[in-house]
Amino acid sequence: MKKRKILQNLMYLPALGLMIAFIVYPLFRGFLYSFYKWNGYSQNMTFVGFKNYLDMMGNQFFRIAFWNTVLYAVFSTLLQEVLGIAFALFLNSRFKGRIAVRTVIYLPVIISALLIGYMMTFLFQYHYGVFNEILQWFGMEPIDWLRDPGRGRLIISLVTGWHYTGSSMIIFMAGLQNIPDMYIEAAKLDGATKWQLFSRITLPLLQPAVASTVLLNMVGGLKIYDSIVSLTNGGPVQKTNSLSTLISYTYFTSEKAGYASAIGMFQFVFIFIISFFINRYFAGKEVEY
Amino acid sequence: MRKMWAVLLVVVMLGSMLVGCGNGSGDEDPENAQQENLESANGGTKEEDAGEEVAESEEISETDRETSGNISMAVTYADSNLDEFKNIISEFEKESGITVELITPASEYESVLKTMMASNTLPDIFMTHGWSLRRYSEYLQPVNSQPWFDSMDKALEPIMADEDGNVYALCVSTSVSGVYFNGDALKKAGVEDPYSIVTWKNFEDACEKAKAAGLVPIAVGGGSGSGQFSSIFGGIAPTLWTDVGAKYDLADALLDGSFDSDTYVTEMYEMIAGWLEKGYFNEDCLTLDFDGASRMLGSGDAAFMLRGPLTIAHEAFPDADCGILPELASIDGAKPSFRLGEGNAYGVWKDTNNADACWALLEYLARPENVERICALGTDYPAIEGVEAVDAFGYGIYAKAVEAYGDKLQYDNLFDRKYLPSGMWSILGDSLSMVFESPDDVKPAVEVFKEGYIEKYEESKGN
Repeated sequence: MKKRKILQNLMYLPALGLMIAFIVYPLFRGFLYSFYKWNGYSQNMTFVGFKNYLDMMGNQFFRIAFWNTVLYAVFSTLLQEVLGIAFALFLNSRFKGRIAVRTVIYLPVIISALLIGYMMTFLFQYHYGVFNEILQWFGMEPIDWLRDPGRGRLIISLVTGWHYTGSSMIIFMAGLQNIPDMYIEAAKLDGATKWQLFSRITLPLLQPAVASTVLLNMVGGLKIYDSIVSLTNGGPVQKTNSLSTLISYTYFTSEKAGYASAIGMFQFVFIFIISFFINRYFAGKEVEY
Repeated sequence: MRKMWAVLLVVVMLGSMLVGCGNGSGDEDPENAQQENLESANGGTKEEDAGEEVAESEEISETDRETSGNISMAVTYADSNLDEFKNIISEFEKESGITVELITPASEYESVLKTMMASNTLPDIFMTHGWSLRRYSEYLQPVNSQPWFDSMDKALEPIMADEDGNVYALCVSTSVSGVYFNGDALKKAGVEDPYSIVTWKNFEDACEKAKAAGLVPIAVGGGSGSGQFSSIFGGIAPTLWTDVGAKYDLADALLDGSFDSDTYVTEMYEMIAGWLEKGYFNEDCLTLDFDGASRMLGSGDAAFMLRGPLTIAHEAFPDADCGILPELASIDGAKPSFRLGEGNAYGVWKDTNNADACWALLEYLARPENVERICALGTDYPAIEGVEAVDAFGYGIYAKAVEAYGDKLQYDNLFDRKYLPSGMWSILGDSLSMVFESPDDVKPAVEVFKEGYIEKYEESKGN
């Protein structure tokens, strides 16, 4: 029995080793680097204590990136939740071509975010962009869609939200299929309207699915990188950067690896805290049935 | 039985982990780590090459293989330039018996090299793209003792040599930067002789004419990142501050940290903001990428571009009459200036296991016939004595400008490398891009420059 337990524990070792090599160790190194002034490639670095963290708090580009990140996460999560539930409800009914519709909605999820971003630039670019071509057909002036940071942020959020709606939809569909029919039937017999059915029965019973998707989408949104790189490259003037793209820019372009590590550590802690509160919030809302 | 399977599974998994980790300490590590980026010079994958080598291996003894060598080389080339460079390398392989594995990260070159430097595991040879001294010298072997060293253009020494006179790369070409133009577009605008443009005032007049002719006077591809704006800053600033006969003589002030950003950067930014207000730049100057700007110039939709090279414009529109002007003078009577820098340059990693093979390749690349071919890859001009590269597009347009301006030209090193503390490159871009975003108020942009300059200057003094 004891031997078997040892063997069982040994089975964990490869996974544990990979976790240590690819998550724990880099995190630890990142934490160490955040206390150094380092250009990211030299063999020499200088200990500067908390200077990187203090500089980060006073830096306008960090503040912009932080609020952008929050905006991207919240807005794209909202979009994915609303569209995800809507599509799931739609696809939960039986109709011809249901599988085809489901595939079309899910398709963007399996395409790389970078590619989606580049595809979207063909819609939004100033010269020969699809939207500007349409505007010009109607005799209107073309618009440089991504030049205004506000519009750029909105486009990034919309593209991200649309891109991952399919994965939320799949989780919601699984959630819907787990709701016993008897509750819906009983409510119908009691004369519940469609809205009452949704708000009083379906939505509360979908809580586990909502909890999972909100957590996944928020964490994904807080780490958003690819679509920004392909759509705006963080510009204009770093005003559409997220924390992730700012880290990359600061590390590789500005050659401030220690400072970039400090932003990385901040991002890690921030995501950790947000995830903790989301979990806690939804833990108190679980419905027994 | 189940126990046996479990033990076997654990052993296999642990073994595979150890094998994975074990690869990290071997001599072959750089090649394994960069498997996806590796291509043989002949264009095949590593696996394909390995297959071809099997047949030959029986005839080559172990000693022979070590003598012939196997080296890795990271290059910045992509597309057709890469194909031509592969041809050069392929001929070297045939001649020497040395196998060269090319690492070609293309646009990710800098990030890939920085990651390799951080782990102190570099390719045997890599291109230094203007940074042989400041960024890469601690990883490179000095080249001063090589037979071709004396044939390198002496004008590059102040740019490439450290305090002890050590140079760290074979530089076969000099990069030239200036103001790029499309002669056909200028003709359409009524500017018959582009080389009659000597001052920024003349340039503004030409821009007015281009605008009146319905052209975009200046194409900018700011969507490709802040480096686009850094280059523009580095082109205009010295004509105002450091060139001989410039409006101000601020070279010493820039070097001793007493430079007054509030006065001089503000003046320069207001000049550029004025151009923006007059509508000299493309509407999408902040979002269009560099390729797009190059195509605007090549197609003749735009008259000028303040950042090069012309490679894309020339490739897309080979018949277009594109050329280069020097950076223009800030006042009448001053000479316009070309900025010279390290062009196609190759350094040898200090910890390479096969230095002899590396030096053999560099000797091969330094031969005049190969220098000519390399110069033809871009718009640089030869930096090896006795090479004219007359057929190279870049050399041709540069030679034309030199001839047109005659002795009314001056030359200097790249502005940021000579006059600014290290680490200013991205700050220049961040700062100037703010002017393009909000030309009405240049103060915040000046502040970004000022803060960065003071911080980097203090750092350079060890404070």
